[in-house]
Amino acid sequence: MRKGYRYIAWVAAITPVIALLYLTVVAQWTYPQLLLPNFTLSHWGALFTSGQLMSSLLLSFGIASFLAVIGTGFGFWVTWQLLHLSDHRGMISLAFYPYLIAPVVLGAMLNYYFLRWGLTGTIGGVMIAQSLTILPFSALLMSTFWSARIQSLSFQASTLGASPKQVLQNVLLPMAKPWLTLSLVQCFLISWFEFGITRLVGVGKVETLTVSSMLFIKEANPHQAAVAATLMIIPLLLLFLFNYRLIQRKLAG
Amino acid sequence: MSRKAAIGLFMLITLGPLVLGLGYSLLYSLGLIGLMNDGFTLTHWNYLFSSTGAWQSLGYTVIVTVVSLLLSIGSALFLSWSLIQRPITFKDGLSLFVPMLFPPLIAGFVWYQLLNPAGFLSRLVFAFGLIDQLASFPRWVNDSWNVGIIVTHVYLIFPIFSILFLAQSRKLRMPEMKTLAVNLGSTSGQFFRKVYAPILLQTTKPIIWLYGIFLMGMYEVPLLLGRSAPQAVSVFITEKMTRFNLYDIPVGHAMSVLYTVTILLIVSLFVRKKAFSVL
Repeated sequence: MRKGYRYIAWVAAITPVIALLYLTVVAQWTYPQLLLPNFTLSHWGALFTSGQLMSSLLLSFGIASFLAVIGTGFGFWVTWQLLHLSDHRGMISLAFYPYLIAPVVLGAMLNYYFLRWGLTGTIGGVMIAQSLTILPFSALLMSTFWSARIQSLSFQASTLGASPKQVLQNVLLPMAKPWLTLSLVQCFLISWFEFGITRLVGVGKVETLTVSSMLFIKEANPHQAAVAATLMIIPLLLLFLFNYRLIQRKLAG
Repeated sequence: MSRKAAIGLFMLITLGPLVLGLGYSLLYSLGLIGLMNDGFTLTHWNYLFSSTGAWQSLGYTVIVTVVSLLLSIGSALFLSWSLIQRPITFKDGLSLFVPMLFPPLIAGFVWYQLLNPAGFLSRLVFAFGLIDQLASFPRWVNDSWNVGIIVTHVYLIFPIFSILFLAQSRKLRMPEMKTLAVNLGSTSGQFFRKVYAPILLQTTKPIIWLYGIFLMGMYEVPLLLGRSAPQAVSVFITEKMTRFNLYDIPVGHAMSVLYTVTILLIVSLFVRKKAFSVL
């Protein structure tokens, strides 16, 4: 029974990946054909010929990487600076408010300002819009790093004569490494996955991978949409497989 | 100096957008600013409360959220339970992590391809001779039961809960407790019902609220797999605000005020102070 349940979970988890990969290599796939269609690599060829997908890929990657670095840096710095407040947890938990409002609704409410300040349809505007969620998230995540132990360690280092810079470089940053990595990955993913506010503020001019995928879906072109979707998922899948041992150790507790 | 700057910047980033957005939407919905508006009026709010569309949209969003959440939590409890006392295999690792690699938009797209009447599943049951034409396949996308939306939500959320429950049950030493309970004469099922499920649900309550809020704001999945009426709240708001009917814009703003205030209340009451204990 338990084995059956785990098996179902496994099938449900990987079926979408297989379906997606399958859609990228079939053509003229008419109903009720299932397994004997015309295979083609032409959908993938469009990646190099049309240029649109490639530029979307690079744009998404650029925006997500930039925001991951900015978000993580901000989260680390701001939670560090807020530590001296007696109720720093209460203060940092303010970040739940913007983080939990649906980004697309927040974007819709702020649309006027984006228009007014000339940010609509620009990459900068999209980045600001995405950081409305990313910055609070990173602050929430990084705040879990500052345990009493970390604080007393940095205090001890100062007492023993380390300058603030040395405390940062030799104590805090090395110890925060797992948190920084997690925050980088998560902030990258929030941006990489983001669609609603990106389309709203980007008004279709900032074509990230999600926006391109949606265009293909709207054009009823599931094969091109699947290529765009695969481009979004495969790097993450590879990252997961490369780090599997690490993840497994975490899961095993 | 840098501390004061940090406090200022933090407040600006967390509260600034909310104050600006909420303020603008409130003024717009009250007729004080915006196109086609000329002075204070409650017409738009009256319209929002008297029209069935808005209530339907709210009720619909809550129901879909609750059903998705219950199914995700239920299946995650079972999966974590079946994983807790054995080594986790590569296959289990895949079931837990692969769904997390999907952006909601892509998950919605793939499940549409799997469940729609001309999709993978329909072709599969056709190949097995269970249906003889496309039309015999049940409608599971853009349908009145929201099967597609709920399946996609469960797919996206259930692994997260599984991992959360797995980590929590290890932290709370559930395997040892179970051995103890069984030694004292309880059955495995009793332990699951009386100890495992209640304790895990209790300790992860703030996170459950958190995901409830996420699902309530989910945009891409209902956009792809939902019907044109009733709409999920976020779809309702963006459609009203960005479509061409200028009279709809203030109603969209009123709805966004209603939604935002509701979420802010839920966050204040159930999430803010408590979520740190589980994070």
